[in-house]
Amino acid sequence: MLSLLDYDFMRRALLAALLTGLAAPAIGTYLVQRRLALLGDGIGHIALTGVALGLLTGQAPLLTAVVVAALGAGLIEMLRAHGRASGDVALALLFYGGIAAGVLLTGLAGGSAATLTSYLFGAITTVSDTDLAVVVGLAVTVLALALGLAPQLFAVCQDEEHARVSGVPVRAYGLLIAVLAAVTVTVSMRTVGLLLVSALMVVPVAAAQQITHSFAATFGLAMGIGVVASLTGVVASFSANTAPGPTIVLVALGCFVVAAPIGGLATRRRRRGEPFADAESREHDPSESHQHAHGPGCGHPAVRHGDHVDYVHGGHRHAAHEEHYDEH
Amino acid sequence: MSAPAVRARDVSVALAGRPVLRRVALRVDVGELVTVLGTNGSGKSTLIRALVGLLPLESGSVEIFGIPVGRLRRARRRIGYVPQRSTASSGVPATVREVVMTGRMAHRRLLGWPVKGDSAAVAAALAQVRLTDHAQAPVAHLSGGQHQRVLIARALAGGADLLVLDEPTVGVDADTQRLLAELLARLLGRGVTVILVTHELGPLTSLVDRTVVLHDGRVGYDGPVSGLERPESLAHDHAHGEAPRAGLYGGGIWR
Repeated sequence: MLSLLDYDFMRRALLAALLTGLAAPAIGTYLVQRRLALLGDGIGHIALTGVALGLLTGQAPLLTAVVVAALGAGLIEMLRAHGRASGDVALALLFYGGIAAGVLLTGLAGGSAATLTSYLFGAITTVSDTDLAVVVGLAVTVLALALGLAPQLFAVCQDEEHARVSGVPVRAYGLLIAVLAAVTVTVSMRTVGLLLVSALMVVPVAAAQQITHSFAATFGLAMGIGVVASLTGVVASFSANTAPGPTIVLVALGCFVVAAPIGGLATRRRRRGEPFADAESREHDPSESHQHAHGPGCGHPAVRHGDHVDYVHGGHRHAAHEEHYDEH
Repeated sequence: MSAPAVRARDVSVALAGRPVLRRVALRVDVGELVTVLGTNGSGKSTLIRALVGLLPLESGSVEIFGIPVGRLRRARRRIGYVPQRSTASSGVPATVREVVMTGRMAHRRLLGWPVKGDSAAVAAALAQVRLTDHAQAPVAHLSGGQHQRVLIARALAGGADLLVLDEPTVGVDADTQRLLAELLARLLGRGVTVILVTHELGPLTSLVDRTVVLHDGRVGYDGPVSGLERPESLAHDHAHGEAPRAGLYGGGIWR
């Protein structure tokens, strides 16, 4: 381990990995909560165009990538907020446009397949001092906002409409989350790479929520898993001389594989602890004042439910029971 | 004389270009409990969502305690909103307490973490819906009725004096329905105004001051429950032309 830290580039890579491992799951928790788990993936594709623009114009690819990814994320969020991206088609257009333009422009800039691979899957030896300064600055900003605005972001991601009625500026926070995700994608570009960055945003959260019960715990544990995966990935990448991204993602997936059965076991134990807690109130729940008789052709969709038939009725299911109907 | 809790004048709303509300007028005085009934698609939920400022108005105006709904700002904390929803959970686990805490958002500035007063308000709201013992439980583990109680507690936590509930009784157990009736009775005693969309009055009937029935986006009836010709059928989501045939299919073969 000491020998690792003797190398300047390794020290830079480990610091970048540490910050990436913290920031990606932090913002990822909000994305998963909003059920936008794949947003990071799309932003990664768009960021590639930014990288290529940097290569083509001689600017630092990290900076052009941040700008292009943030613009793309903002565009996606605005399409979403205005209900225009109802299909995933609008998003798909951006994703594919991003990666196609990225590869084309990299080619025009004289970049090789190796250049592309280093951005797509990470490359620890390429983290320069300038890169590191940008990465530290951006990652600390993302972490500060993701933690400092936690109550507001949680409320927006939990129930957008309720937050709006409470006077929370939902649009602004939605845009902030999208831009933070874009910044995180770019920050993670050197360690995990653009194609796998979304995994570092989502997989630690998925692993954490197997065993956690609260948002706060999920948030914290996901960051812990992210750090372990990132550091392991970078070290393994050094020893095996491979791209760090795939190792980071496989370690994170390993955490999920370990966490899933633990969570399943805990759920089973909880159910055994209170066997009839739910059943009691649901077993027999007569519907109030029901004058309509359900039957074939009564207009209400019939659903087979075990040994009888339920009729779907105003969003709930009625089953005939003696002289009345039960709620099923 | 103080302004009414809600005054909607000439409200028209279109969803995706289709007119859903047509020149609806509604006045709810402070301390009243008004229910909004109507068949599916009659515009009940649309009316409620327009009242709390979630939908743009094609025409007309909505005032909450005398303030136009678009300019409520800090007065937003006076509205407690229970959206029509069967679940309180999202993509990530959250405890009952964490969800109910978001009901305090209107009391917070742009930045800011929960303070002591927020915790006390959340504890009080949980006690009112009898979920104190479940405060640390993940919402995903709750039953349908308990989910609804979490959403109600979230609305109560803000200390609102206007409570707007969209179908809080759909698919909940009888216990939760009774609890809701007791809770609303207590709140009305404190001068809170309640607007409630429902299609089953059930144990709430005796609390209702006035009922508004929407029909095809227009107010078809506005008066006491007793004035409804057939409260059951209207309240029950579908009006059947024929007499009930209880017993024909209710007895055995479909069981």
